[in-house]
Amino acid sequence: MFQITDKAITTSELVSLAESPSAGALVVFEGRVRNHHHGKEVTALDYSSHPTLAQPEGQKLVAETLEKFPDVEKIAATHRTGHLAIGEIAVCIVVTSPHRPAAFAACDYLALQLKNRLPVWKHEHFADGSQDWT
Amino acid sequence: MSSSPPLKALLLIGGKSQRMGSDKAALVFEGKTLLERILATITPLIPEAYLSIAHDDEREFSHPTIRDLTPNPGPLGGLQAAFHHDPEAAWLVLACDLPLFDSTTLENLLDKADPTQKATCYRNRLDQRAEPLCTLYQPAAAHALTNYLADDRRCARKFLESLEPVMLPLPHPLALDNGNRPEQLHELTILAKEGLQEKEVTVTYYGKLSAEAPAATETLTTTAATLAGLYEELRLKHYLSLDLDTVKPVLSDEFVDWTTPLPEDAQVAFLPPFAGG
Repeated sequence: MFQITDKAITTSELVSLAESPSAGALVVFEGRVRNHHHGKEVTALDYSSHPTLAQPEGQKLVAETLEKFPDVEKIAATHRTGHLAIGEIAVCIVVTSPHRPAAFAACDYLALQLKNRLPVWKHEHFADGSQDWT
Repeated sequence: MSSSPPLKALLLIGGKSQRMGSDKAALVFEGKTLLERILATITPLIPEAYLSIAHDDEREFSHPTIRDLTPNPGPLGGLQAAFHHDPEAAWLVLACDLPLFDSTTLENLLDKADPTQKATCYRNRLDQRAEPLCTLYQPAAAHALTNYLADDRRCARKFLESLEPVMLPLPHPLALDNGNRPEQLHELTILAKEGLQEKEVTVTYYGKLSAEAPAATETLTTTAATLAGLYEELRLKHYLSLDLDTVKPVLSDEFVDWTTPLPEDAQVAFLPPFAGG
């Protein structure tokens, strides 16, 4: 399951979507807005996404991860758009598997894919008033 | 042109092209390298043609070369070295990556060149500004160049404009179109075959590009044949900071190749590198 959303992410909702009685491992990753980037103080971020491509691309990446890690039982992932303050969750991934290694590896893999392949852009606002697109 | 100074040509062959991952002068178009094509066009009219090379270029060339006087002198370094080589000559400065450059374009420039003016050039077909890729500089331009470079300025186009050049319309509109990457050569192949056809397209820019373009979405008329041609046109027009190889084109909400033909009423989006998470 993947969702792109402009609402605040509630991790517990993703946990309940991914948990399973046969899964002995449940890994949660929260990508949060941090207050610094390349030595500059960050005050907030704006995420924008392609309105029609981001959702299917995210679903594709989740499906690809499930295929690559056959021991994984379920994945629930979501990416936020809009204006985010420091500490807010930008991306959340929950992965379950019978044993620990597959869940950790799949979670890390999907986090990297979402970073590089999801049509989403980050506009950083810095404390010194400057801003930058990444 | 009896009182005109001797004519010499300087070909800007570029360094190792980062974009092509190889020497752009060696790129093949219709069976010949771009350098062979341009030499075949100019040497019948200007036998004395030199290749402009970097200060430290150690490659061997089949043609005479003129070496930059300093490391990294900028785009005007070639002209500076040419005037150093012969300050009495009128120098035709020509980029080598012009696949459709032809003798009509060259003859017309030489015919209409005014030796009493510092430079004669063509108008760029897209923005109508002076085009430095094919310009005849008279000896009087040498002094202006020395002053320009002494001010630590480097832009070839602004230098040319500062000379108040004679500006000519292009007899063949595509003659000065760049083709220094495969997608552009493909674009030019189609344009040469099918001609320039106007079409209306809507372009949406995302991320960084949306901040650089005048608006996040624009509708415009273009003569580009493919998405690569459209992006290059808009990149130059809006001074977009990203090269084609870092941007992903989208047509009607689907990822496509740069070589995809541009249909009438196309809905195009240009996506800079993604930055999720």
